[in-house]
Amino acid sequence: MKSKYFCALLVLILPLLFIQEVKAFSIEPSRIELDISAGKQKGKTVIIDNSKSDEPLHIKVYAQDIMYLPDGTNDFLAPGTTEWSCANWIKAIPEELDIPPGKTQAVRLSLAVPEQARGGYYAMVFFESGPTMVQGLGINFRIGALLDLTVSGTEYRKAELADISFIKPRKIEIDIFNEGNILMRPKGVIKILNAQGRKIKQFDFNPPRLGVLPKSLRKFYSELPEALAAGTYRIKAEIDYGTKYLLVAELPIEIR
Amino acid sequence: MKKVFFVLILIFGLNSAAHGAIEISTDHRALFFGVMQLGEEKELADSGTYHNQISCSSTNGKPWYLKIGLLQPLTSGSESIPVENFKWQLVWTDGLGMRVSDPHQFKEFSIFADLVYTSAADEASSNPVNFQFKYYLKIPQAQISGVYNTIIRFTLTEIL
Repeated sequence: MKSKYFCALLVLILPLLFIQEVKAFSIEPSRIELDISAGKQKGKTVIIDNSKSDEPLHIKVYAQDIMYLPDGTNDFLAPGTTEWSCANWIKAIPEELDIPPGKTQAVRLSLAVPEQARGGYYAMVFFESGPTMVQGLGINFRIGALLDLTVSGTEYRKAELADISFIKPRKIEIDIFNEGNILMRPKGVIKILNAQGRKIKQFDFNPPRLGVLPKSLRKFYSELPEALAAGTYRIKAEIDYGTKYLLVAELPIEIR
Repeated sequence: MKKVFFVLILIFGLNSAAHGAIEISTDHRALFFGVMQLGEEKELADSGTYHNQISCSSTNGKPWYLKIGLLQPLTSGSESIPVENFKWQLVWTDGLGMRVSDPHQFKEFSIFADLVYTSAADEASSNPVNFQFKYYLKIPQAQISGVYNTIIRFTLTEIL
């Protein structure tokens, strides 16, 4: 098979048949929040929109486990891998569908919660396009929708502000460990106090409301709106994690 | 009773809308390296500076990210081209968020998805962010001839 002189390799990633295809699809909602009692079942409808494409769209629906990566994004694992997984409890109806161009179609996600379930459970439900051709392979797109399940009446919120640090010239890192059993989305304020203890700046902590999975630590980075003049300051973080208590931490810093 | 029913529907509708939609689209130009010789290198950039454009948008007010990966190495039967020989480059984006790769360098594909871009805080209000990619392939000197295929997968999801 190996030719000494002219050994051609035909590397085909997408057949020419599909050159002119315009592909676009959306899903709504992009996050599915469900509150279900243990032993009960509930569902939610997700709309897949193929109205901007000029080709039919084949979509496969499946759920995977979710975990954090250090870059703030996620890795997706086989269903049932993580302790907070509900991927195996999800039934998509239909699991595969063909949507004509210009049309939308609904997928029903049904979730049956086992009797012994407690706290929060999570999965990423993917809506993946493809196959796009009869032979050969090509580009697939998938959109993930987070499924956020709370087992009614069993949630337990507890959190620890594990660390606060200042990274010159303007970055503040706050590490929060979620000791509870549901995903939490902390919010709050960061204050900059001068040497006399007077507040000179204040800005929001975690404005996009990023979450922390149960039994997980997440690093949050905030940036000072402007560099501080030379002097002594204190950074004070006041963080609301969904209970009547705030997490509070202070860090003295010196700017030279 | 009718009034109560109407109010409940209205609340449900607002709640659904608050979650918003998330969309991905492409010009879907074919990725076709054609016939290549052993040891040959080729860039795929049929539009001059780029080959295909991906657009992402969201209306949910949450930051999102885009990843790129291969489902498997370029494969022909039992033969495959090492994954490091196939590369991608994000040559341009109009996004204001964080791009991960160097716009002047190709990056090797991975079967684990690589992060391409994380949106800025204000890029979740329906305006699309556009990404232009080009691709590179080098055929190893000892590669067995064949028709090699793979699937590039783009993953779009909001940050948890």
